[in-house]
Amino acid sequence: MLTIDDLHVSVAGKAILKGLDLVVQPGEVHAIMGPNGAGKSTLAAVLAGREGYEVTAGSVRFHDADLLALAPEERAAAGVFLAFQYPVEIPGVNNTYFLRAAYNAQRKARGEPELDSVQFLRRVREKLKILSLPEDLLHRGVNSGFSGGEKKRNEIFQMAVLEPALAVLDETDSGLDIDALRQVAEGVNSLRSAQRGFVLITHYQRLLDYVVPDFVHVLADGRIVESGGPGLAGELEAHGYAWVADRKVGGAA
Amino acid sequence: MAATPQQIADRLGQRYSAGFVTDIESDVVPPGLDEDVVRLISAKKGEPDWLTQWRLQAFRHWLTLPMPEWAKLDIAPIDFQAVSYYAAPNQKNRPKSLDEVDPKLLETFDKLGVPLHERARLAGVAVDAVFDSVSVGTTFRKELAEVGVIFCSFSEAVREHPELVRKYLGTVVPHTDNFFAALNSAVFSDGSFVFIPRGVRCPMELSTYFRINARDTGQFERTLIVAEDDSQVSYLEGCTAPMRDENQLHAAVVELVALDRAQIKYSTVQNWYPGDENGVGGIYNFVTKRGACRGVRSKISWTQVETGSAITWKYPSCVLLGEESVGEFYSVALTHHRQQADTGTKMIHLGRNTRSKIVAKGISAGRGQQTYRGLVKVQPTAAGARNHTQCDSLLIGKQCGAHTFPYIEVRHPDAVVEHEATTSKISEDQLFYCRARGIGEEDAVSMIVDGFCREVFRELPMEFAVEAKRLLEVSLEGAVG
Amino acid sequence: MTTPLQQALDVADLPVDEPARRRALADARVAPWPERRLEAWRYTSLHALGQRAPRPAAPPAAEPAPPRSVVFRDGHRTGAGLDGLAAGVRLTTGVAAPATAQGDVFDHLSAAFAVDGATLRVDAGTDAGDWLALLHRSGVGADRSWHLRHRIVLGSGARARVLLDCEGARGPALATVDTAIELAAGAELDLACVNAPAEALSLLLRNRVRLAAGARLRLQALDGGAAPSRHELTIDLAGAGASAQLGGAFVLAGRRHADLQLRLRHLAPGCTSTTAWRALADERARAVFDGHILVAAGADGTDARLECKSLLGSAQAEVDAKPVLEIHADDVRCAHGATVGQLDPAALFYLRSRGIPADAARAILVRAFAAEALAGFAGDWPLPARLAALAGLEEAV
Repeated sequence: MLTIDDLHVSVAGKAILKGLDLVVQPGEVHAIMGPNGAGKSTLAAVLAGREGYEVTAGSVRFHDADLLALAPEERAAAGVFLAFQYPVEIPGVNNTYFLRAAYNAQRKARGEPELDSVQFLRRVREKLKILSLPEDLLHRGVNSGFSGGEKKRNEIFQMAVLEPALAVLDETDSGLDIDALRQVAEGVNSLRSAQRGFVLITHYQRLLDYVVPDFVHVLADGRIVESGGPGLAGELEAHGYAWVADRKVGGAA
Repeated sequence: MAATPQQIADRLGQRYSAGFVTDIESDVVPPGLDEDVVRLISAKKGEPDWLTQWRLQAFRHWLTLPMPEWAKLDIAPIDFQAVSYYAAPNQKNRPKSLDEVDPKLLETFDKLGVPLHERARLAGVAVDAVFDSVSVGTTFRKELAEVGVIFCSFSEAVREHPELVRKYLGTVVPHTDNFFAALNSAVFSDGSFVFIPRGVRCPMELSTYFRINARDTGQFERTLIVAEDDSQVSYLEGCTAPMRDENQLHAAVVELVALDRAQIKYSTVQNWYPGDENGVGGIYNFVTKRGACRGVRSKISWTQVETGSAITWKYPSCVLLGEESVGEFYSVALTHHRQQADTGTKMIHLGRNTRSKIVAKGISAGRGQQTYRGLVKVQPTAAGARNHTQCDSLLIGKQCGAHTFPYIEVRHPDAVVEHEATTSKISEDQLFYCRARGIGEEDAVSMIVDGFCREVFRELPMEFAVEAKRLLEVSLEGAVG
Repeated sequence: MTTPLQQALDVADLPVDEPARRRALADARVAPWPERRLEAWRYTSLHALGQRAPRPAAPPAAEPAPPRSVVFRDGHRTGAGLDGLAAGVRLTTGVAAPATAQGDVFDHLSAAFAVDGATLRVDAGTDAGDWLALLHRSGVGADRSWHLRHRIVLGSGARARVLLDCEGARGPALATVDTAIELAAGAELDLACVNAPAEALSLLLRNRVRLAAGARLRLQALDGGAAPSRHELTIDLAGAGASAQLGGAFVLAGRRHADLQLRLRHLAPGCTSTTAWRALADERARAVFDGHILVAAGADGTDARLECKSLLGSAQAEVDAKPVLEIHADDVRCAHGATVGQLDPAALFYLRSRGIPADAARAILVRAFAAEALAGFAGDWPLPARLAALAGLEEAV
């Protein structure tokens, strides 16, 4: 469903991604790990269409479309969801209202009927139950005054309601205590399905203890330098990122 | 994709949907102002001598006053002799009921969404419709009269209830109050009068709809609302005007009197023609609004949504005289293109344990300039006075301005006064977050603006809140991107 | 309208009979007297001052000065302890040229009558070391007037710490102290201003500071009030990334009056300012805080915060606060807060429950309240100690 081919991206004239390749099929969970500054968050931002990222070469295809040609809201309507590393606060805008506006905008773009507020509320209540989140989440402003953990759980909740085809989670595990981490992971697991692809971007292996990926990729200096099964994460944890770099240098020699 | 100039022009044309002109013959007094004009207006309205003298006294005082310059407004000199001070649609006889009103007038109000006919009128809202200088008609009069509520045009109140008008007129805003109040007192034409007797809770919303139509005229209405002991009323006003290249003057005075335990809620959705994107035309809106909480535990609450007018100069205020009386001011003001607004409130605490609350939200876009100006004054008699003020500005674009001028004057050690002001813009992050969830940019902007204004919209009656939200969306078109 | 004070101005009183001073005197005579209908004087009346006729006092005798200080009495230098200043640091006396005068009656008076002042120059990259003090004293006797004009110029990357100290005059006087301050790129100035309480002094302190890129001003002010004591503080953050940290307290009793007129302008991108003020007004005192922050077009990345909190100690005291924001740029973070209130009853109760008598508990809390404005400043400052002394004296607060 997602095919990234030789992607080069610069930010303010500085090359960050330097030929990244990645293919994600429906039902697969890909973990992207890597040291700070490797380009992990740049990848997430480019997939969602944030401004300020210049694609200098390569392509990203999603299903049959050129993803990079789409506006952010068109990508969302096409089924791409980004869980933000830093979810944005929008004071005064009710969470449920925001989500219904997003949900209906996406459905409208896809030519599907919109849900009225009663139908929608039924739907979000179900999702809350599945994720065992408190109902008061619905009545608060979007991320406004939320703790770090609440913001991340709200992202997962939004993902559950919007049911994207491809979910990109940008360091959703960062800054979470162990209980919050487990809740986030449970949320992700409950949404795994044969139709949905995941890209989990993370710095640490611990999220992968709870969400077992099908593939693990190591991103370093703007490229995928190592790919493997779930066991790769454990090796990284044991040896550190320098180990990958060393092996790569060794392999090249 | 860049729009062609024609597309942009078309869009701007649509922007102000109330900008049409009603083609109707009017009785217009020639431009100019002197004592004879004041007498003529009074005579046309068949007023008693005491009122004519009251007007003349105000006029003589006005002559001694300079135009105020302290507001942060850039106002081109106004030639007060070039304005016509009275314009009324020609009607052979004063219509006795709405059925006798000129169909063109009824049609005008239909088009503005304020139908006056029996069959179409708004459920649960009694309307007084004012066209240029006169009231066209008032709905639901019979139903209101049954509970003793008087709701009629000001002219009619002078004829039918002179003792009430004489008792309260000018007692909250004396003609000496300021330049525009003096001018209004001299030449005021029509407006609404409301009297809620003791113990009555007004069974429906009362509403006045003001329409300026004639060219080169000013509108100078006067509204007086009196709520006796233990009574309650919610009053709304709306206003529009045609699109014209000349500036037109609107200088109103509103006086509210709340006696013991009475409550008055006064809401305004102001959508006078704001002028075009280059600042040509538009209404000069210079308004004096003040409420006196005279009785114990009385309450006056002002809510305003100000999206129109080229220049707005208004400070709906509360004089909190009665013990434990409460004053509130909720405001959303929006300035776009070349609009300017200097608005806010005054809360004067005189009685013990009086409370006031101010929530002011200013949105500035394009080259709009917006100023909040507010006074919170606690006099030595106001032990236990409380005020909380929240003043937020939202800036959209690099060429607009948002300013805050709060005045806090405290002369009692028991008082607690709190003022907070913040300034923000719609951040790129907020817009991107919305778009990443599938919400388009314009929708995202109105959603964020709506969230910013929520605290104020909550105070408006439901239909008005919807209208206010829509106005804000229309007024902000093209503000981002 | 001119006042008896202006009408009594006499050419014979000029320190030197020269054309510029004669012109300034003539201007002072006819200049409009500040009246309360002017926005900047809304809360401070100079009516009583206008009825007086203070005259310049004769030059007083020399007196000893503490180390690292210059003493001025009645507007004349009477002593200096300037041995051992670091190389690149020059502190000279004599009247400094006005930098940018407002051209009002007090500027004309200063131009006509000022004979002295201090000029501190610190060369680029030089640290002037410990505090340098300019001590202002007033003689006793007949109603007198004196005027000083100082100048502080720091080269790029230079550092200095300066105390402007006005001792509380016991007799009636009209005093103006005008200081023009220029901070070159990256320069840092710590400025402490103390006005001790004075019943009969009319004091006008005018500090004008201009900061180039990356320069930094830290200012603390403590004012016991006078009749009146007015501090006009004008700060231009003119270069990118300049910053100002301002903290001050009014501790007022009797009929004393203190008035801060802050005009803080963010003129360049990326500048920050924080302002924290506390006002205590007891008996018949009056505190005025007029804080005006302007963010000019193009001053993106501005971060400006201001708070003013006040406590009133009596039903005859008054606080007037006017925290103004004027913003012409959209990429800004600005927040203003002003409160007037009482001591926290819970805190008062807590102290009393630990055995502290009510009055003492109140005094502790009052001092803590004022001290908040002076907290969070790097380095040693003389003001917290002075505040403790001042707040201790004002037992009734």
